[in-house]
Amino acid sequence: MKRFLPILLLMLLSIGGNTVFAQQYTGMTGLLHVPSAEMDSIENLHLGVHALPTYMMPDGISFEGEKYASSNWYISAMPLKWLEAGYSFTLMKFYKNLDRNSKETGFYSKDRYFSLRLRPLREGRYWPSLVIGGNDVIGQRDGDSYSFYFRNFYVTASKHFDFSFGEVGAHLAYRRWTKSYNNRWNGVVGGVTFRPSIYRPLRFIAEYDGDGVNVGADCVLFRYVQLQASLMKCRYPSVGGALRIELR
Amino acid sequence: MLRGLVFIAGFLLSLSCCGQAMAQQEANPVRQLELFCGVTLGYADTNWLRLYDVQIEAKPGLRWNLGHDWSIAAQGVIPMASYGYTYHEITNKYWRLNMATVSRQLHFNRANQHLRLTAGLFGKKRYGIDVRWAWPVNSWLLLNAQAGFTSSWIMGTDFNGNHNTDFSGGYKVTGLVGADVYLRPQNIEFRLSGGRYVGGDYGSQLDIMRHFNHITLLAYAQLRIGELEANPYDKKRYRTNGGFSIIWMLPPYKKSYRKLVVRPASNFMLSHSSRADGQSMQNYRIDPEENSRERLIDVDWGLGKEVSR
Repeated sequence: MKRFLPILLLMLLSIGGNTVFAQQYTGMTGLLHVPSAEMDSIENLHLGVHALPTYMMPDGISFEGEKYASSNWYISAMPLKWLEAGYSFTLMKFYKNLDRNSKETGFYSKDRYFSLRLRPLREGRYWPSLVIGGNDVIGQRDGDSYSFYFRNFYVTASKHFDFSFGEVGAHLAYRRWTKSYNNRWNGVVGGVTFRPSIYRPLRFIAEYDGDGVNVGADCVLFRYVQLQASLMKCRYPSVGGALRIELR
Repeated sequence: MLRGLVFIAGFLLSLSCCGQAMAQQEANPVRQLELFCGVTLGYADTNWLRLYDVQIEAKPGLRWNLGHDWSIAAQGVIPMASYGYTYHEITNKYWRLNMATVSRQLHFNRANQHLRLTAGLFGKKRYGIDVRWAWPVNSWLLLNAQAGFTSSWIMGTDFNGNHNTDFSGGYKVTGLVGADVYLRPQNIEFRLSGGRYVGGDYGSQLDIMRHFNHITLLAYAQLRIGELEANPYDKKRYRTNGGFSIIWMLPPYKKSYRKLVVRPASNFMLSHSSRADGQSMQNYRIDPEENSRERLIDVDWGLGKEVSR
């Protein structure tokens, strides 16, 4: 154990003092599968990837009638402290060159979309922060905009409470998915977060996404790396990581 | 073709003559040779065979600042990897001379008018002459224009003795006019421009930029006007387009005053176009390190104060 103490100490010292928040699976600030009204404290840029278990994939995406696990790749930016925009693509499984006789199947295509978040109200002493936003706000697939597998819009509020043992965050959102096969994630969703005072870059998350309870944690290492791990519906594992670049 | 070449020769001659009587903005002319190299990552989503077509090229270049706002610039292209790119063989496989220009900036400081005249081989396989104009009206508004008289020329070779060239004498006039607005407290810049592009097509573009110390985030929207070419990939005609760019300025950030400077390219730019067809609203480049963040004319406006080129 003593051998690892210096490494652990070095890691702790390397972590920046800014209060930062982890990314959602689309690269946008949020919880696990639920949006929140948190925004990072400094303008930044994220380049990352997130594994999507079958549970997180929309029913509209299937191959030979079966849903499959995939991954989401994204680049997102916060050009202003009240605005966040992201571009993501989710890998999709197809026959190579759309040839049904081909034995080669794999991730030969992707569903691309933009996400957007606006914060009209910043968190105050007595009131929560408020964010309105959406995923897949401008559809993109071969120039058409008819897929909208991930399209949803939401309004969300977040409030944080400081205690001696750490910071507790309460997050509530109303979310609407436009495709009927995503109805199970519609309605009032929310979660709680806990950031221990002994290690502020670590955040524990528990949330209700409309269909089940998800738990997870995320962490910022060396100011530049964000990691997130979760159990969707407390059963299906998912992980993601991103490079975080502060813009000054 | 002969008429075009004579015109270019006359233009070059006028570059050297007209500067004598003009006020110089550059107080301390620095003679310097800069050698640099950048990398281009091209990716395109055009088929169902692979996730992306990918092309990686090294782009070594040089800029020779001759003093008195004269400069000579050149850039080569060395293909390093190509998966699926289906462009012309010369573009795809051969080592090429991508750019070779001679350039002169003219600053009429009393009238607050600034010009850049360039001749030679530009990017996008064009050669000819180019004129750019900038007028900083006040601290937040700059009017600008660009006009070009160019034709097509591409040449390439490899180490096996293979070479190819494609030279055309059909000259084309292109031109853009624009207005830039810079909001200094927020470091936000808007650029609205429109005109005729290299393909002979017309359109207008709005750029919104958020500048940081070494990074610029850019979002743009395009409106294509007039007769449209069909997209070669899906045969559709798109009147609108949009996308984003991220421009990273690479170290060293401080201007060196040595006679010879060897460094990486000044910037790396990642660009995304929602409906890219490689044809619509395309324009050539006249500088090996041209990017959307910096201006090609050194004007004391917006981020121009940081430009040390």
